[in-house]
Amino acid sequence: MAAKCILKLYVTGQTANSERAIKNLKSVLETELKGLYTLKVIDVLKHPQLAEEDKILATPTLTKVLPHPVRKIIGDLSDKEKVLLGLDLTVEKEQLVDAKQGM
Amino acid sequence: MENKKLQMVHEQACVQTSEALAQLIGRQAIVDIVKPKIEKVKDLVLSFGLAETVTAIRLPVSGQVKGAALLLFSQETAFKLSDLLIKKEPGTTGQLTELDKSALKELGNIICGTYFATLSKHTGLKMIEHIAQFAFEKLPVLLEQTITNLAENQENILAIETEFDFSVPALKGRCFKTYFVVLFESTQFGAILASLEETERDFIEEDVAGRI
Repeated sequence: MAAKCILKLYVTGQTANSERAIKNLKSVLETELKGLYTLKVIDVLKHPQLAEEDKILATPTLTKVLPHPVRKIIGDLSDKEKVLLGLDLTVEKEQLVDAKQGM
Repeated sequence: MENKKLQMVHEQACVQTSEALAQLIGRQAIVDIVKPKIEKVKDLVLSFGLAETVTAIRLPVSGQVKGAALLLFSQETAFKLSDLLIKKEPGTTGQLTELDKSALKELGNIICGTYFATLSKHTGLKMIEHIAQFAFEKLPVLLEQTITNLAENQENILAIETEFDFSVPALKGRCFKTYFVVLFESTQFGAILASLEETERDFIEEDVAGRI
């Protein structure tokens, strides 16, 4: 198992909408997964090919790449419970902590 | 005013619309989800000057509720959208032909129609779509024409206001900016919000019963 949760957040441009989603997500991650995640923010206007490859339909979309299974969640990520449940992060947090301690 | 359930319906409608748009233009489309706000018509904060003429596609609905959706955009965006829809080179359209208007009506039909279909699914309220209309008017005139058919007093009209922007990765992420407004008479709006509450409660009860 990877010792880190790898996440990708797709946004459209540097709008208030995008900034809100980034801020909301970072707040959840710093509270729940501090030191256990890698987040890549992707602007679909600057990197359309990445959005095409990942078949993104809407922004903001948060994709959990690792640990498997891949999960996607759409919206402004203001609902902490929805983010944690949608990505299965409540269960995986313990596994990530165990894996990091075992390294 | 914000409403969580309306936000959920809005997110689902955006995803569905993205799929429908992709079919229409034959390319992947990405819709940017902007939080919807519930406003009185007089408080609408659209980024158009009152004297500015806007392009609009209007889709009225009747049935258990009576309302209308407006997809609004600037003339410049109308030209960009025509290029996209008719598959012309970007920058080609300088005046809207009947073919361009027809394509824009189809776009409005898809966006507004998908929104009403999603709202209808989640409320259980029957919404019958009418024929989409093309308009090129000053914003106050357009709103006046639309609300006259819904209520006698403008004070009694509530609007769901949001932006509806989408990009097309195949066109190097080119972004198309539009505004989306759904208008209902206030008591009918109340019925919609109450039905949203009701369907969510039904779903939770069903879910709990399923686990037992």
